[in-house]
Amino acid sequence: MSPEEASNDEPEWVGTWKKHASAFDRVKSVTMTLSEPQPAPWIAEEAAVSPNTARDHLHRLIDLGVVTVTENDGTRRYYLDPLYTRLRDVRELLRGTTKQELSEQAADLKNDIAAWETEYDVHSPDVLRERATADDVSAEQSYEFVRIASDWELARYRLSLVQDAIENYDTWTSDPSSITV
Amino acid sequence: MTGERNTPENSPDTGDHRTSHPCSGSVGERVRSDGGANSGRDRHRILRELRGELVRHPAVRSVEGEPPDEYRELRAALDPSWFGRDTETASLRVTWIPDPTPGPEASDRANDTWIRTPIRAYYTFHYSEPDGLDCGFHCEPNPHVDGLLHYQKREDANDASTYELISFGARSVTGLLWEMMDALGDRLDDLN
Repeated sequence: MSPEEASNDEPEWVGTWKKHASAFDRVKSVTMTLSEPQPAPWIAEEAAVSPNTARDHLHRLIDLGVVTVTENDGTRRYYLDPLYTRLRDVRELLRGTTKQELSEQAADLKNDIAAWETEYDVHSPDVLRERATADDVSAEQSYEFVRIASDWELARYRLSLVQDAIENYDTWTSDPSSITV
Repeated sequence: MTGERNTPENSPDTGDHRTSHPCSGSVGERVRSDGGANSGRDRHRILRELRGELVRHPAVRSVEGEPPDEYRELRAALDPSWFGRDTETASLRVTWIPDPTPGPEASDRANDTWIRTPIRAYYTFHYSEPDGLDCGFHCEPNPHVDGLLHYQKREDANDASTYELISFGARSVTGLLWEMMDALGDRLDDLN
């Protein structure tokens, strides 16, 4: 795809996106939603920028601690830094939330997990996903199991964030710079 | 799915297990041991990013994660006039399950499961108006369609939904969001 100018053969939605998000924002958002590391030309094509523009922005994001890079077989691949996203998520939780509210959130999440354990008679979302593959499970049931397993995994992640926030609440709220990313 | 778990299958999963296992060396694994599952972390990450992208769109008035403490989906308030719709309010519901494992293909329930989209995830992108119209793009199993990705529409709460196979070309999640917003505009334009 050509650099930032509109291209005749690009889909209309790309033009809308380019009108409302800068090249840097497009590169960042494509990278932040990757499911696996990708090389700069792939990210460039998806973000509708030139490969050199993508590399420039990716290097900026590396400097900011948002993105990491790995090299394999001579190809550099970029991926978000999971530590960055984790600290960002914890910081969001701490913003405007009291320790008591965090404790209530933790209790709610534990209740959700306990309810799934009881309803599906399993102690892990992995088991639910395995159950979804059984021959005697209908397609609708299989989808339900995967959906609940995903909700459960999400609750686990949220719970781990809330627990981190509670454990470090006093330190991180008295000295916000200690969690700045 | 990750290949490893920190919670034994037969022990209660309260989240408290996370400190009982030593962290391994890499950052990714440290995060995984805190979060329990990459899938949960990825779902949260993608929904959060999609919220930020939706805010940029001129048809979007506001976006929130729902429920606020768990963030299982996004709910956006839209400006229907941007789509040429003659109604005061409209909403958009977005869900995203990044890891469809085991997925329908594991049991051969569909042949063209992922052919019409390069992105492997279950998602819904559903528009609703208060007087009955609701329509949207769904990439999830549905007994009325072959494969996953389809458009479904119901013009009135008393109507039966109609289903249509569709395809999207975007390979990135954010690209897909903009492609779907554009496609939604086209669909609503057809109804005007």
